[in-house]
Amino acid sequence: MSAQIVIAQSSRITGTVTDAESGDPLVAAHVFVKGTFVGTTTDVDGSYSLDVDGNVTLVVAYMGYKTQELATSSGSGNFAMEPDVLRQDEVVVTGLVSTVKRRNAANAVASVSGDDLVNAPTQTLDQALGGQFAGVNIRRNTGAPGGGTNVNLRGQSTLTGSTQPLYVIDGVIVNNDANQSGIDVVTAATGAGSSRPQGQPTNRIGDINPNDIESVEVLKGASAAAIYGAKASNGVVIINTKRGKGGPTKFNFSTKTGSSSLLRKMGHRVFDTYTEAEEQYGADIAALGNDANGNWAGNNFDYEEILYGETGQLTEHTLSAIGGNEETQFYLGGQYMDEGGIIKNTGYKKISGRLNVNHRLSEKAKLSVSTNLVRSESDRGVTGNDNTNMTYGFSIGFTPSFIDIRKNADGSYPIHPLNPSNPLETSEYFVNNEVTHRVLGSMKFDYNLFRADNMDLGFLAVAGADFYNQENEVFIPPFLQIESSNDEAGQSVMTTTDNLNTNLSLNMVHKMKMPGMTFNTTAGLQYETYDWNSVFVHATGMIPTQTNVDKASSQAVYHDRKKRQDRGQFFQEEVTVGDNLYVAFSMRGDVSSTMGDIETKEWYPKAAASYQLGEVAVFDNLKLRGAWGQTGNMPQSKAKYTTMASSNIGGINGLVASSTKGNSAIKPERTTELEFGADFSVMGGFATVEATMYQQNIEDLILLVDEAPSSGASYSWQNGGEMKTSGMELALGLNPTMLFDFGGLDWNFHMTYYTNESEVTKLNVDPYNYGGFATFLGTYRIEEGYSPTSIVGSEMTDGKHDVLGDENPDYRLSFRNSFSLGPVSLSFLIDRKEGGHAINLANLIYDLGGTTVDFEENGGDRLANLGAVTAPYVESTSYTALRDLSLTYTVPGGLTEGYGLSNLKIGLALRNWWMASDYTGLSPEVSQFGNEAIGGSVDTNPFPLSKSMYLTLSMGL
Amino acid sequence: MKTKKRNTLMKILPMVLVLFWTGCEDLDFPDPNNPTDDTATIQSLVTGAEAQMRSGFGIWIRDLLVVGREAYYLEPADPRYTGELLRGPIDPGGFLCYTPWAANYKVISNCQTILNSSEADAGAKGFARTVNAYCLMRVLALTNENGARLNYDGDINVATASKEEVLAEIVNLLDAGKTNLEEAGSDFSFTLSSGFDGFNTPATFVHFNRGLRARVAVLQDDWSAAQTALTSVDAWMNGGDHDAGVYHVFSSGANDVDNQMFEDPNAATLKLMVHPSFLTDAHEGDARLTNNVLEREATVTYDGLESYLAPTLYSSSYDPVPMMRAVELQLLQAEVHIGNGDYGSAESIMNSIRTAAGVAEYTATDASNAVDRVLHEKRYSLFLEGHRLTDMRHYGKTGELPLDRDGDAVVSFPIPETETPG
Repeated sequence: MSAQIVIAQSSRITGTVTDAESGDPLVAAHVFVKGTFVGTTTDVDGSYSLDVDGNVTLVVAYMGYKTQELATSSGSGNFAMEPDVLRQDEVVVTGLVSTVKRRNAANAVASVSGDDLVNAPTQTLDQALGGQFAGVNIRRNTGAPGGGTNVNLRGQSTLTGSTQPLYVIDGVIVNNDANQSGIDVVTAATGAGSSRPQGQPTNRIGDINPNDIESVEVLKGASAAAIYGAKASNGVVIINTKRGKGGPTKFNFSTKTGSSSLLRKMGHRVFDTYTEAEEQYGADIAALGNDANGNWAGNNFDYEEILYGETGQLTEHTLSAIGGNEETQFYLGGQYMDEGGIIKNTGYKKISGRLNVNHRLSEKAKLSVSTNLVRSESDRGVTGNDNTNMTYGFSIGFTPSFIDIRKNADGSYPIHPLNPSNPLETSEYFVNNEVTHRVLGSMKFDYNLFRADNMDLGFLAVAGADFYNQENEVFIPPFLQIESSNDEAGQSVMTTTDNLNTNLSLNMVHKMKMPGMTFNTTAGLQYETYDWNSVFVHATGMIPTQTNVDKASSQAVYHDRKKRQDRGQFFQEEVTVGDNLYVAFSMRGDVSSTMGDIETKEWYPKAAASYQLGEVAVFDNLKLRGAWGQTGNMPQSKAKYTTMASSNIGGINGLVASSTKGNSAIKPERTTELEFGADFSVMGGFATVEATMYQQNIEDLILLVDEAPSSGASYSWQNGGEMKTSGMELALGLNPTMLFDFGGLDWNFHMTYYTNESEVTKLNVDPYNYGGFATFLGTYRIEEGYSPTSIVGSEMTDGKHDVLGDENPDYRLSFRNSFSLGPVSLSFLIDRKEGGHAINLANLIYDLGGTTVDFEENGGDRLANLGAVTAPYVESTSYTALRDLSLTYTVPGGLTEGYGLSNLKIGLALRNWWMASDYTGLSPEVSQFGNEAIGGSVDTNPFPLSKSMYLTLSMGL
Repeated sequence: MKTKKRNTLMKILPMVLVLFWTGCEDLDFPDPNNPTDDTATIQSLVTGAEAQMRSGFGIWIRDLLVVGREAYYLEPADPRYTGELLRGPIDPGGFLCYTPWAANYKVISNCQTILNSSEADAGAKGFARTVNAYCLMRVLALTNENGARLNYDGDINVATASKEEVLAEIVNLLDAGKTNLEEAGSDFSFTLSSGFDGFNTPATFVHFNRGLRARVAVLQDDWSAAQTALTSVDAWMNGGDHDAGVYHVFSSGANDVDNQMFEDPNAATLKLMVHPSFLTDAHEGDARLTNNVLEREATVTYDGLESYLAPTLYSSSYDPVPMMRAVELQLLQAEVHIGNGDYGSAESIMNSIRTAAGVAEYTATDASNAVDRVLHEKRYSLFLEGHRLTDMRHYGKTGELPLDRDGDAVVSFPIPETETPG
């Protein structure tokens, strides 16, 4: 009742909030009295009404627009909102449940809108991130459908731990497992040389539909990500999906259709004469190159073209609907994608549906629910490393261009005279299929416990679950040449992996406004679980025509589980003084089942500040910022256990010591980061610059330390090293149209540049080689004073390994240009990597087969020196690529009106259309070992890269 | 109504969340995948040791066969089998050196766990010591003069033992094991696989122990100890079946392994190919050649090497592989006779083996030819069992092994990189 008295003395302000350019109403814009929590939101017509007390300043904030203020006491207050080109009023994440305006942010938080991710379709979300952010290095481990992508933020932070950032979608941590398909078992890639997984697996984050994404923010370093504690050493990628907006339901349908083809080839040796062939392969094989009369036929089959030269048919349809009223808003998104590969029987399919609903339960309570169902499927062929000569790359390497292994007229394939498999036959019958079904659901409940003019206390609960089932099937029919030397011909591998992640966080959010100051206090508890279960059956001796693993003469079964329970708590205080100074402090405590000591929390503090100097010299506004913080990287869930392994004979259960000794005192790695930066714009927003420097010190590095195998164990887990990484990042935006008139042409230019370098600064164990297959075949060197991604080989000077290369690039540069002129718009992204090296064993494979394109000039020398000289197989992986290009024509409204369409766009889109590189392998981005921290850049002929072109049609209703 | 419902929801929701929170599982749980070491029993350790002897066996036997020029391993995907093994030097960090060493020491680790266990009876100790000795012999077959490690605690600052020290330790283990077995009663307290059929009681397992004792004594030129050991296993040695003995067995059962030496001899490309000299050095009519080797029409060529000889010794992925057979004991007996200067007795043993194989008998065996003759018989009777390299080294005849290409050499295996400081 007392409130009515206050209202009785006040006056009412009414008005509308609209887009200044289009005049469209802005629904659910936040209108409030400056310095207080007195406020309201606009309705579906963009209208609001607010009772105020005396003279006040009204503030309107709306995402994507500049915040506006209006001093008034009563009457009408209309706001025509201007787009926020400089994005200074955009909010960026500072904590688990807190944000700050970009103008005050103390860290360089990179963000892109969802629209920039879908300029041209991508199969997976992680690939869409490529080239978009300063400091984010994206590597496609393989060109295989469904991907397999390494996302690295700010360089190396671990030697054995997880390398991938934490993905948080709508406030909930989602799974990004990379599960082995079993392909490395049938190719025996994990046999003699290496026991590490080599299947170049897909990443589960790839399941997310990029079209559902509103924005992506990247917390790159420890100083920004400290609030995520022990899981955040690799940074955090925060994804917000599209939410509903009030108003009439708007539908958007788009369809894209196109084709993909081979981007790059290795090339091959041409045999000009019989003598040349005879010298290489002997008379029996050389005779295969003769014609019926015994003369050199001069055949030159391009088996890369024959095997990799399929044209993939590409289709993507997306449908979205956005609508709702003041109480309830929804977003509905659907995607159907079907992309054929450039090798026979390969491709990718995805069907995804998402429903996001926001509902206001009362004045105090809000609920938002997100659900996502996905089915993704990939057929990936057999590529990469091999100890059976089954994979396409190995087989082509052992196929000289003068012999003919093409299909016979009767449909059979000739027996390959030099290689255990005929790759053309293999590609026709080999199955390597992966199907994932996934359900993601999350719920956010926001309850206002207390609200006064200058104070607000809220309770925020977020709960989420992420379940997937992944089935991998690998099948080799018994009649293939590759199976002919096995007494149990035919193989079938069935892997079923289930995983459930659950998340719960309970938070209190307290905001207080005092004259000239605001305080934002947040605190909360987190609980997360991870429960992974995988069963792998490898059947051999298949009954003809059958693929089930029980229709076989023998089976081997493997079962593996991973389980983790994490608990965390945090407290954060943020203070803004005036509009200029922002100071934040936070503390996060974590305990996890993966830690040796589960009684003691690991604490991760953070402190950050920014100060806006405003107009200084030539700068329109200049901000200086600095942040310091710590994060961790969890030990692997098995690291604390010392166990025994099963080793049976004659049906009796036996046990032997595990090869790896556990460590009951293992603790997370700890990264401490100090970051400084300056952001400014000049000439009225013509140019904006964000410059950042940082240094990370990583302590308690978890090492898989060599043990003397005479003790029964080969390795043990230890916290035993330190490393530092330093780097700089630069983001430059130009808006030339602000200064120059291009006759109506609008031009935006955005460039990112970054560089970083890492060094091992302390190692409590002897230096060692890691990764690759053997020292003489190229390996990584872990030694004090070396970069952890240094590539070394046989070459040594004064007892130390010569550094032959480094996986880490010297710098990366990318720029996006966007033009629009009337109804036509053009946008493209160029991505440049300078430096960085890979161990190109694809050339070694070709050399051993005598088929390398430069075999006559150099191949012989490389082979003759094999063992003593590794350098010829270490190559620079510099490249420049056109990541995406989209050209769109918006059909003028007059032409579409009669058909009930609100808009109609047609266009052309290109993805990975062009790449220039001196690298001689198939892909300069290769990693045979997936997302392993150390030792990835080894090329054993991955699935080749493809380029894609689409015609697009998009219509709104 | 509506408001009331919402208020109820507001009250229930936090309670549900708190229940969820407190109902969570504990952070402390055992490894979900594997048992801890305190769960191991004597039976599981014995079986684990027996099973583990086959792990790494494939690479161990390839190492011996390739370096001993009994076979090539023509693996296009890995040039080390034809480079490192035939030319050297062996990479002390590479799998050819490391894998067999680690696999054998893992068996030894089980043996040591048994020997240190309060639950181990005399039979278990006798088994453990015998198998420990056998695995040291397997390690030494590769490292030879570089010796091996006799401390099993992982301390790499302790010096490795010399070849002589390792041989002496093998003798000690076998003799102490024999004593254990003699005190072990009539039956073992554990079960062995069918590979030990005929040797699966303390009284018969000791025959395997004594057979190994004879093998090591011959390597030490300790003819009298060898004779004593051989005499004690006469019934096995001269029981009439050359193949009677102790075997590794294989199956498709869970956590079991295959015989990694089997490949279809008619396949277009094969990896394990017999060295061409095995055909050219054979004596006429030798069934040990014709029964075990297929002369193919198609030659396999790789890295400057070629062979058209495919092994047919094994006919499936589950054929057993011998650890020690009666015929080896007979040939050890012949070596002992030669060592003692009794060429006639040596000749008569060799001739009985040759007759069984359909080859003409030797005559006039004397000091000038006896060693070469017994090495020839061992080469053909113990084909693909990995003895040739050790035998040629023993008699200082590695220089007689055929080198196929310029720059090829007969190499020894170093101590693995991670076994030494620095």
